[in-house]
Amino acid sequence: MTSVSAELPASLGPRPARALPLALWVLLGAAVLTFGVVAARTWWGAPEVGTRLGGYVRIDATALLFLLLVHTVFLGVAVYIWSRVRAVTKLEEGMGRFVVLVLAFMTVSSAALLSNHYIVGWILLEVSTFCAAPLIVRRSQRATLPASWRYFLFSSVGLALILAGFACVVRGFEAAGVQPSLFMDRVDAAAGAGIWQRIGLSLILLGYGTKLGLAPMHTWLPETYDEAPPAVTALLGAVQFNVALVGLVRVLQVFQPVNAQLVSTQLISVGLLSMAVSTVSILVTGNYKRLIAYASINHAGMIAIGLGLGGGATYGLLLYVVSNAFIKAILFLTAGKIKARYGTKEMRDITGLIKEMPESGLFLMIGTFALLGLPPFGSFLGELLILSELIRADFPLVFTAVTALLTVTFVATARSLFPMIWGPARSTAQWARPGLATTLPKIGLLLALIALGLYLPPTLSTLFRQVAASLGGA
Amino acid sequence: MTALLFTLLLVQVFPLVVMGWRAMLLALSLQGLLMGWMVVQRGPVEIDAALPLLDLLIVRGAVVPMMFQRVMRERTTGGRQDVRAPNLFSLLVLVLVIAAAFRFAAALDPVSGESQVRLAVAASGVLLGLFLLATQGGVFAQAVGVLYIENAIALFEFDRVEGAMPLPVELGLLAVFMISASVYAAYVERLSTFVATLPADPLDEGPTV
Repeated sequence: MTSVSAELPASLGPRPARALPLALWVLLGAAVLTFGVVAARTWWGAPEVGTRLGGYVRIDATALLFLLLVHTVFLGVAVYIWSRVRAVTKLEEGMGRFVVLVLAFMTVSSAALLSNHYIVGWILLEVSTFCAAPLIVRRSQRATLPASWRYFLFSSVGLALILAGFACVVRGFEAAGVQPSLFMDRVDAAAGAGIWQRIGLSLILLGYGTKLGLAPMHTWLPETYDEAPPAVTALLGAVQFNVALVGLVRVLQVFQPVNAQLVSTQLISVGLLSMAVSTVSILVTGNYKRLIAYASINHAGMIAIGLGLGGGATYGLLLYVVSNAFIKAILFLTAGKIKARYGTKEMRDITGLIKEMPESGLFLMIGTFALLGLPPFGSFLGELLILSELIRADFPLVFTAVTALLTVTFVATARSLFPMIWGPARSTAQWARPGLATTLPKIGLLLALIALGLYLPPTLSTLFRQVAASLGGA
Repeated sequence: MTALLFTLLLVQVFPLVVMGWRAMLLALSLQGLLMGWMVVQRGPVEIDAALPLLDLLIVRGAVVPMMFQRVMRERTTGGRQDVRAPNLFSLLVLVLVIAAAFRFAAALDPVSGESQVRLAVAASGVLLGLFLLATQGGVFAQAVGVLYIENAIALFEFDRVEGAMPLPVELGLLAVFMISASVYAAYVERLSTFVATLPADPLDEGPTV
């Protein structure tokens, strides 16, 4: 049954002109400014490796690529929030606190991307969790507080495992008689190689896997992504995910060459497990927000496999990672609009989106195509390159398992989402078309997603290649 | 020092047998105090050891347990859901966990002595923390589980080479630990009082960003 709409159609009455809260303008201004600065630095600045502030800050291709990525998503999310509050007066309540937390989250996340010290990066990731946890909670929804707790608890356990891992790595250096240092540019992984380093690396991979939502520590993710407000889910899925991923990438850049076998085995195993678990969950879920969340776990599994393979898969992996961030942002923001219109998250209660909400239906359709890895999106090219590397690196069983899981995911996702989009419309209400400000962020993210699959400007392509090279890619 | 380490192991285990929130807080406090006492026993306390001493004796030994005690006393819901009582199977798992921790320590540090026992007690702290997280559904007991792991990491880092971690980083770690513990306490408080007062109808949630 289609439930009572949470928001009335805009066409039912004129929207009164009103002054928006200052916090909202601050949010929008900060998003535009930081995106502008990062884009200009990436476009015109040479991406040379360098450290600043006593060695604690590192500016290199990895930092620049991911800063550009998270600030592009942040700009999209900030415009979305601005347009939502403009349309729904009730959302102004508590906006000051919300904006402060979002800005703190983005500041700390950006600092974590620039960190050159493993433990400082860890501290910043933990602080970003402190900022994100209250954003999940909505005062009127009792389910959001336990979801926020679960997110915080799993994050804390994951981060504790990472810290324990670094303690083991330090012990490895001490056992080898080497003065330990956790500044990335000063670590000599070969000097501290041994059992302690291997144990440490395993714990670090497990810990970061928890933050990325990889099985077996993934259970917090569907609940959190489902219960959090859509804008917060987009920030968690596209910003915090990538900050944690960069933490893992920084570890692999230094330690993978010395521990290639361990890293490859562990990452490919958890990647496959995550894909299997998420595929089963996609088959049985009836909630579209949860379906997108399970698809995120599926993508995280593919990313783990790409990282485990390294070498020729890294360029494809990066394309996949960047596309994944844009897909998640588009889909979660669209899911928010659909939820606001229908007041339900059940797929069986929604049908005929393309007729009732043409813009949202279109974004859900295109986002689903990208999610499923269809051309011309970057996710298609990225997936293709990772699968090719599985064959080239002689992993025929993993290749077979991955393609089988992808096929089941494809069928299950399409079977669940397509009736929502193309089914018969149940309502004849004339809903006002959303303003340009509402659709602009999603159009921008969509264009970026298509560009990743068709044409990358030389500056960005160089950046991708430099990051791929730092992970052992060509 | 080895006697202190075995005392620490007993302190880790007894609340998991007794299973009460007061016993758990007492265990957390004693873990901090015992580790602090080990720092004092190591020799004259110099300026480098002041920060770990502050962390262990004051923060872990007093501030964090007292913070939780205040919350647990003031909570409005009944205490029966705070911790789940042990059964024979969970006690058996407990014994196996400790045996596994000692086997792990013996494999990694073959020379018997204080260092091996410390490693075993630290490993058992991590495993017991994970055991609590796996077997307890209550927010309080889960928070204690994470604090067990944090304390075990502190014990593991006990004889870390001085200078391995710069002072600002050490201060950052201490600050993060304190904020984490405060957030755990806030969740314990809010989840026991706030949720019960909210309406259950999901359609009443209103608009969101």
